[in-house]
Amino acid sequence: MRQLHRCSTPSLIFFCRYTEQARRDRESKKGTSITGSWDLNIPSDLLYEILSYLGWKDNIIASAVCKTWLEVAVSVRNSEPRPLLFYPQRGSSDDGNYVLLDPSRSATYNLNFRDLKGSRFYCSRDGWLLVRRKSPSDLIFFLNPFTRERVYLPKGSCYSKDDYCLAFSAAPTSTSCLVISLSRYTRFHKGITYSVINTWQLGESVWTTHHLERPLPLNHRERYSWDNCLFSNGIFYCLSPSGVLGVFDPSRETWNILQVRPDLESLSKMLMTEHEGDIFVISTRWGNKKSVVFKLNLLHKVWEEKREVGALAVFKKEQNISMTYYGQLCVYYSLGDKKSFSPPRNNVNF
Amino acid sequence: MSKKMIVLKSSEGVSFVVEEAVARQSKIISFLVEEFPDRELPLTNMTSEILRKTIEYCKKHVVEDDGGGDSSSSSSGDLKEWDVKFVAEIDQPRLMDLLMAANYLDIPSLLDVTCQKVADTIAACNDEKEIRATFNIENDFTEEEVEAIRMENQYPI
Repeated sequence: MRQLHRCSTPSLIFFCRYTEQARRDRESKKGTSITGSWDLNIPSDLLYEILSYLGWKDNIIASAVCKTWLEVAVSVRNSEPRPLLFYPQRGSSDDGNYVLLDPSRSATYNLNFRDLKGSRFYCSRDGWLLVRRKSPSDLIFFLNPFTRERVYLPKGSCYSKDDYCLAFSAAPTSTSCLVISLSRYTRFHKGITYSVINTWQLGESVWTTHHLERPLPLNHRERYSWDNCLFSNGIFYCLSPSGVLGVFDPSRETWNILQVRPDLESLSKMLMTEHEGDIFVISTRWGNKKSVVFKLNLLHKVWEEKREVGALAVFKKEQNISMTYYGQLCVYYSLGDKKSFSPPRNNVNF
Repeated sequence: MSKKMIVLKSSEGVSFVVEEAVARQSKIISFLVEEFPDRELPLTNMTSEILRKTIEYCKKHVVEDDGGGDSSSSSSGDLKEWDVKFVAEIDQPRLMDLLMAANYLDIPSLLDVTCQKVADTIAACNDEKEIRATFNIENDFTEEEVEAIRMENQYPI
């Protein structure tokens, strides 16, 4: 817990903040209130402490109490964002019913997005989801499930039937927002292998297409079908199901395969995620239900196996569930294996 | 070996003789005891009632160095239960006093339970009106401002 009011001088004077006047005010108010009274002189950092114990919904209700509370409640919301899981309600995703789960408070909120029927959620960041809705018309857009705000992306080749991975660098409210789509499969033309990457910068009306040659021998081609992708520190990373890591630098337009040891080929159902700039791969070993976590060490180009992830909480859910990075503590974990489905728990540490 | 005792004096001038280990749960007292040994510590803004409550809490939570089957050392589960009961028995204004005392004396665990209790009381309210009534807070918003907060945060329920 955060420490408040540390006393730095050997003095008892600090007690004067707890004034007699405040006591008298309270005593005099007692006559008008049977149920108790709020100390008017309660310091705002103490109110902050109290309000930080509230769940999301209660925080919002508390912000409507008075101006002081509003200010403090908002600062709690902004400084202590919590991870939330967003997923279709079991068995009724066709009705557009979604659940927003606050695992740290064991609270759920039901949301209805009727027109999201059959949508796919690619990734999330800063409270925004990147969604593709195929019918009635094919649309890719950002969705903020809290404000229901949407930001539509222009039409482009990523709309074609060729499957694309999508990732974005920042919320669409930020000017640095960049969306990248990578064609899932490597293409071959006249003996050259290349990948197709489309980028879209917020505010632009069209996508920019990059055909990037990949400096790798052809005999490896079956290993490259891109799956997991994310942004970290302005660089776009992509992981193939067999553990090959592709790296695209949007500022320099370079596309490379990063040789990282050890080979992750022996892992199944890998999930790559980012936490405070670090890249993690979470997976299970073949024939072994136990999860393993690797952290990418970019300097030495090695996957460091982590026994302890510290405060990083990992939530397992069935496939086709997306989560918003509404905080820094949580990652979305999809195993697609019904057996490993478990209700979200706090701090599942490895 | 006899235990070292210290004296804490409330705002009414009432002296409380407390084992040092008990009082040292307050980081402030712990610090003051080292700076001013053998002096009674005047806690000029704590009433006897709140000081008594605070000491009661500290006595329950003291970790005995010499171990053994001392009655004051309890299992964590029992302690938690005791804490819940402890704050449940305190009325609203005194709970706020105790919370402030925990803050100023820097007793993190007491601050934790009192904050939790106040937060639970807030959470038990159905709306902001009930919170205002419970804590006797004046509404300084206009109707439009409250509406704007609601609109801004269309919370799904």
